[in-house]
Amino acid sequence: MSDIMIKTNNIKRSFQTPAGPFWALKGIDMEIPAGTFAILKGRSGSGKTTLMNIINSLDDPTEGEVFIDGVNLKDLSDKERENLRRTKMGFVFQSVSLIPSLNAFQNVEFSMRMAGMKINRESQKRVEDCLKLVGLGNRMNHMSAEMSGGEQQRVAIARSLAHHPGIIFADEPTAELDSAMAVKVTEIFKEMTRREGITVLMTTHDVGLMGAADMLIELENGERVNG
Amino acid sequence: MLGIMLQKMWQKKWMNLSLLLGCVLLIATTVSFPLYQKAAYDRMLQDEFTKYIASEGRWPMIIRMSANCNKDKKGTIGKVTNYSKEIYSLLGAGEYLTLYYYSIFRAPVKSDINRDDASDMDLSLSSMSDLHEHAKLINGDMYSEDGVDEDGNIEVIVSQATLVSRGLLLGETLKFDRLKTADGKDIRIRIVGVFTKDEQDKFYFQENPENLYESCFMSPDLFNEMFLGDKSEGYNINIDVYDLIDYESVTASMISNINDQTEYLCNKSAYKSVIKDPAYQSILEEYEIKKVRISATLLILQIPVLVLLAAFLLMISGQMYEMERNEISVIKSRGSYRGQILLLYIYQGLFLTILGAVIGIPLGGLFSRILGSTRNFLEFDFSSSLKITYTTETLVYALIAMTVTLLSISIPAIKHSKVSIVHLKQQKAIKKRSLWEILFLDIILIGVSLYGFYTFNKRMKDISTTVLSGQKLDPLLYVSSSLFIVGMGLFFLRIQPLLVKLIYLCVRKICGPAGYISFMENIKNGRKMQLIMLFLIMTVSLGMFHATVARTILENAVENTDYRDGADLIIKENWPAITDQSGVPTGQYMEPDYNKYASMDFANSYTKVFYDDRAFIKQGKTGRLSVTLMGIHTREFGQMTFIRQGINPKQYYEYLNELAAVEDGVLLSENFMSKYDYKVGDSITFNNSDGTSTTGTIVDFVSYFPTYSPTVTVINPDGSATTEDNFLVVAQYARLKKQWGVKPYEIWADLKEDASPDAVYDFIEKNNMKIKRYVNKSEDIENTMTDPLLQGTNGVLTMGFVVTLLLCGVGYLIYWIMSIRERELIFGVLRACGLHKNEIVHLLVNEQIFSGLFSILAGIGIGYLTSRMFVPMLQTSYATSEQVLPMRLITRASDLYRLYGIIAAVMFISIFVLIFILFSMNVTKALKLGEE
Repeated sequence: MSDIMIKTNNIKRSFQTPAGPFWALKGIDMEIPAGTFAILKGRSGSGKTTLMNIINSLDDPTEGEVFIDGVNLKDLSDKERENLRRTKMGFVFQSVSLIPSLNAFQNVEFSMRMAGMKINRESQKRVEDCLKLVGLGNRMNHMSAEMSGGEQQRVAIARSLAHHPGIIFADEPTAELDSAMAVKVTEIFKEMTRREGITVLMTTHDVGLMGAADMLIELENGERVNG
Repeated sequence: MLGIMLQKMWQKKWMNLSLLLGCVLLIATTVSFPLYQKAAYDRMLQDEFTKYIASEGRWPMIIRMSANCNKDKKGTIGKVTNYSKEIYSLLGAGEYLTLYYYSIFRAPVKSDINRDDASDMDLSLSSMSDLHEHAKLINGDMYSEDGVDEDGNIEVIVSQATLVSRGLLLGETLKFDRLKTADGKDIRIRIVGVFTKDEQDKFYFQENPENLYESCFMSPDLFNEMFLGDKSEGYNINIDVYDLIDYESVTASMISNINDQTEYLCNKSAYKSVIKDPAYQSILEEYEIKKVRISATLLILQIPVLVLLAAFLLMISGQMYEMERNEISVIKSRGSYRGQILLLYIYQGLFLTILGAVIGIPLGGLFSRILGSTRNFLEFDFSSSLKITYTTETLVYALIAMTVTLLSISIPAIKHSKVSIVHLKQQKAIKKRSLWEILFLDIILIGVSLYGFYTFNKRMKDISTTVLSGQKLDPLLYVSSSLFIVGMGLFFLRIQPLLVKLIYLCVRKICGPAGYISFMENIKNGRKMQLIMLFLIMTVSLGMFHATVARTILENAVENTDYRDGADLIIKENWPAITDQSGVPTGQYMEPDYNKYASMDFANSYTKVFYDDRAFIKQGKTGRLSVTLMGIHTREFGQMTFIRQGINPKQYYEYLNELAAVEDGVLLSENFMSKYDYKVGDSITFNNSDGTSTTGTIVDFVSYFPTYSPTVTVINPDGSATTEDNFLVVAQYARLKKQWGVKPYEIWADLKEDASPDAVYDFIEKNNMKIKRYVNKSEDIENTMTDPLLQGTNGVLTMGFVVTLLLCGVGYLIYWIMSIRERELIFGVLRACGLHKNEIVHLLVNEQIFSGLFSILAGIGIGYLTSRMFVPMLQTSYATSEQVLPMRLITRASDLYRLYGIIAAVMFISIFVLIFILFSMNVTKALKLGEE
């Protein structure tokens, strides 16, 4: 494992609009060391999500390169990228993203299935641990419809963590939560970097959460404004 | 409000389009029913008329008024003549021809020529309206316009028969002895022409002129002038007025009026004594019986389809409201009145219903045309199209259909308009069992249908007599098959989750993440799919059931016609009886030339068959048992006839061989053995219809033999039906000939594949044959197949199937599109987490297998079972008195393949559409979607 988990070289991304190309990202460079809790901040439309989706390989940059754990994403086929996402990455989304037909336990376990891990007693223990980590050890058998938004989001976090990914991408995970819960979620992320050595890249526009970050990357109009 | 409504509908355009489709189909199907019915009745009525013409050679609708006016002081003649014109408007039908036939009672005449052979004779002076247009003059001229010649003689024409029998001469003048004109002058006539009947002109002569030996026809105008009006008092005049009603103008809807008016004319009117009972009453009666049967059967067959259509609308609108639930509940929470929301949906329903009617009513016309052109299940022949006319009845049906659509679309709104957002969240959290599951509706339905199955099965025989006597059948008979299908379908839905669980337990170890989700989705959320699955099951099983019903009914009817006719062609000529000098029949007949049959180049082979259905067996001193006697050449007969295997204990040809082996051998029908204890080897004496007897040795007993029906069902005047036995004796032709000499025989022929009826007619005409009996199997089979009941049944079943399939396809697609749209976010999440598109496809295919494929398989199973159980029962309700052969269940693999093919096509299309939607789905966009 290289020390730098995420590295980008001059990432640019343009979208076609009727008025000509719109540059959502205008050359972003950054390096995030492994085990860092990094927050990508910026106003709506500053390019946070676009950048995040390029880094997690869902989207391709118009120009520039992304290295994940030293591997250039350009060199990977679609299949290899999918594999990368399944095994090396975890995802937390803004809105509720649990699979409704599965209960909390099964939802968490599902990321392990995705990563191709064996489903056995050991995996069961891991799921339980993850759910306990997010404070839901007692609600494992509940369906998502039976849980509050904050609980659901915490299950999602447990899910993103269960298969021992290198990085967790969390896109505005606190947007739909009240501030107390938002703080709690952020703390969980932080704890994860400490306990499991996972790199977390989280986007948010909530200034109150910035303090927890090891590293702050601020975007404005597609450009990096700090550091 | 309208703006909001249109905007809302545009947002859910696919949903609304399917709702519209449902409306259109429901209205079209409903409307097609009376349209088809009316057209079919009209055609059936015309068929009855043409059948009458073919068999009787007479105009089918005639009202005859006949009066003998001796010194017509009351002016009856004038009144009757005037009244005859009123009858048309009374019946509401058109006039084809009104024939006035007047004749003065015969009176002695003296010829002006003194001939040796001239004897005293009576002639009658007559007139027939428009005779000059219809008589075919074979000699001389027609009477002139003013009707008298320069010498003041009345010009008359006579038939050839009159001329010959009375020894008259063309140009001869005669004087009536006692008949005088009103002013006392002599009446003299001159024969100016001789006429005969024009064979092309079939309907003018109500009495063949060859039978009018005494009539001299004069100009009708002159007749009126000289003998009618105030002058009629001087004469004894016979009048016959024939109203030939234009039967082609008669439609089914006029029948009840015609019946009432005819009844009135014959029994109540001032003219009841002069009106002779019209023959058409029996034609109309026959028609009425058929009509009652058809309307009941077709309605019952259509009901399941209509119910399914309404259920479809309920389902789609229910699903739409489901999608709009959030919206509705938000509006509700923000203080909108329930009434306002309701109104919005009612407007929407009205809009769809009206649009549906605009498209659906004309489409109904097309449907009924399709109905009328169905030859078989899913087989069409557009050459014999029906004439479709819209009536007020159609409008009533359309209005009913529109009400149903409106209600189906609006009812879910009533339910949903109550829900506010708070309720909604609560509801979502609760998982309910469906009501039918709690009530055990599936078990109840299966129970009721099985009850129906057993009771009707036990009373199968009664059912057919009920049908034959024209009584209404217990609706449970028809409904129990549908109940069975629904019950079994629901029962399958009950066990389907268990099945999926079972499969999951088996494949759990090797199942990838996508498979895992699909299993979990089905086990947890399978209930959502129940309705669409039930639809699918019902489509498939109803389709199978209906295909079997249609095929079975048609094939049995055709097979029965085949059996009853016996051979491809049967011709029996009229044999003139030979009389001795005093005119007493000798029992001998003149055999028409047999050699001409060799020139039937349309036939493969032919044979003589002696067929006597008035033969008898003496029982005791005076008793007689009526039997049908057949004399056959066994080999030739065997070559052209056929009996299906399994209905006689032995192979058909074995019987013929047994008969051939014994010179005086006879085959008897089985009832001789069961009713009269005859045994093989016994000798039996039988008589032909002339009374001559002979003896034979019994070689065997048969249950079925070509043309033979073991029983005959007689409908008694009181409406009950009784079954009587028919007895059959089959002997060798050669043996009967040896005993009785040559008796009138029939020619049975095996025709070539491409032999047309015209070729047969040409042959008959060319050889100038007088035919006593004529049977052409291909014509009879054609008639059987185009029978309105059979055709209508096929039509309704086919259309029902097509409509159900269409609904099912659309419903299925909608369900899945919704299900994908609903889960777009989840799919986006899964894709983001690294699930490949193919895996998502795999997931969907899995779900399709659990819902679609499982339902189709269940449908096939249920359809098969239902066919096995209920087709024989339903078939009974199609029984006719002509049904002889035991019915059997017929399924054709090709029908089922066609069915499966169409279903597979629908499934593939929906999978294709789903995959297309899936692939056009953008992951990042999908994730965004979730954030909005």
